[in-house]
Amino acid sequence: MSNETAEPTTTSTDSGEEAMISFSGVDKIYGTDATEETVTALQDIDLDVDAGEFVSVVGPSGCGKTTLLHLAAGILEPTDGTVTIDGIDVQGAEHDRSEVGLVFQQPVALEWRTVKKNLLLPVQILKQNGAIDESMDYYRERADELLELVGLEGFEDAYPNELSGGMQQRVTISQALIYDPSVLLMDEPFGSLDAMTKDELNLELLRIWDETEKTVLFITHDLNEAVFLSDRVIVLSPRPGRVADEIEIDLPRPRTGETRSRDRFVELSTEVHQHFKHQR
Amino acid sequence: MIADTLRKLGDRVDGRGGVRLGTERAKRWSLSLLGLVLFLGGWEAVTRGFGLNPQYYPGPTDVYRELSRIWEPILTVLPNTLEAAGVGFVVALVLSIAVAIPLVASDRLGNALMPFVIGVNTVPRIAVTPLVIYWVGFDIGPFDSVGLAAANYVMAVWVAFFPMLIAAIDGFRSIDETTENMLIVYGARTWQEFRYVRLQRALPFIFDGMKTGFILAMIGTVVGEFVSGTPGIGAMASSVIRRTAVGRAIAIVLVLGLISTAVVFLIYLVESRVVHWRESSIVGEG
Repeated sequence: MSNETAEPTTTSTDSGEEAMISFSGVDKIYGTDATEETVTALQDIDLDVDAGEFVSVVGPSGCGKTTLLHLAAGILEPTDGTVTIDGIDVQGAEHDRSEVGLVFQQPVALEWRTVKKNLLLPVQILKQNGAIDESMDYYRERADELLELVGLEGFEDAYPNELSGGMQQRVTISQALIYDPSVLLMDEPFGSLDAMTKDELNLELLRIWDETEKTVLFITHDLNEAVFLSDRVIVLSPRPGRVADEIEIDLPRPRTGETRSRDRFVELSTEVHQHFKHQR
Repeated sequence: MIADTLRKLGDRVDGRGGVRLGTERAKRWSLSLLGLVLFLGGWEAVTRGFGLNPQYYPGPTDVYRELSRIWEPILTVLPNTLEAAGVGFVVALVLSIAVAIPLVASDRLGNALMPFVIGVNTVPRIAVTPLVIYWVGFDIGPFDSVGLAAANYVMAVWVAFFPMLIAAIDGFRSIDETTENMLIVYGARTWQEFRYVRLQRALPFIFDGMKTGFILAMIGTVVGEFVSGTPGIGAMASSVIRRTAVGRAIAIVLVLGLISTAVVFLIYLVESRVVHWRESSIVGEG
């Protein structure tokens, strides 16, 4: 909202390319109380995601993928180091909530609100707190557009429990998009869906990403999904999670169902898979 | 026949699972009815078959006869009891929600006061009835007496409040981690958390609390009347018991039970309207 007034706490601004999401020297240790056993979830994370980039993070379960995402969302506080979005520390008072959308693993739709009213929940909260300025009517219209974009037109007045798992996840995605954040954080959003729905939503996500030019940080344990979607795949090592490797995905865009059968896709996918064999 | 009618009704009301649902509901109702008939029949058979003295061991027909005799006096004192229990219940409900919100909103306040709340809740609160009457009903100490009958209102609040408070606290706390994280991401303030999520999540708990709460308010008032002797169902029960008019005592208890059941059912109906996204239960948690 008010980037001019932001404190100059950033690290990556003078590196030429401005990172949209930036982790610098981030450690996350759980249970820092002296008497408790501590677990180092993440160690020495330095990671920059450029504006408009699609970056996936993969790694064995328990490697701190979700922790990484929750740090970027400001849900968790780093034990050491800073996480910035658009140059502003996410823990600081200057952090603009309307810049970040988080798509959760499970559907978050509230069961007493219709699909459309669920979409408008973040808008109500952000507007009351002065984080967004547009009128409510503007967002109502936008909600209709988004529901069309994710293929849920006609379900505005349905309640969440009347929808299938895939449809609920579409609601979750559009809910994160309603206030037009420039950063989209996604925590295994399709992990609980069947393979067919997952493929379909992957294509739709890429279409939305293409249309809206968002910066995406995507967490998944599905290596093929990561390769298919991303510009770059970050491999985390098992506990403590560190950046073990970065793989540039140079597959041409727009990607289609066909992309998966290309030789280059198979090559890259094998490269990522190899990584996991080395780790064991 | 009843089962058929109910099944048809179920079909009409519920389009999808109507047949199954309707049949099940009909079965349940007919079974309850059958149970009631068997119970009353068995009771009557035992009292008659063993030739028990109806003064001490009345059968259902004796109870019915007594009920028709004291029906008029019951109706004249019933408003007193219902008013005390009803007002006490509403006060306890409002108080329980008003106290639960700050206890859940502030961890420090919650940690400080929860042991006290749980402690008082486990105390047999009925046991202090004479003290309540003494403090509220008698003209002692710094306060002017507000009258003996006021103690019955206070009893209703005192007995119903704590279980309803605990239900409300449980309700306001019943928020899952994902939803909580979602609210953090949106930068929701505490009041927004309550306004948009916690209140709705708490409603089923609060309604369950109300079901037990009303029954407890009735018990509080009746015991208050029982001890103080102010005109009401409780005092009436106390006097018939002293005269060992067992049939009348049972008749009075029956009336109390029916009223409580009716109110609990009413709460259930309101709940299923308000909490439309969730299936309501007719029995409270307690």
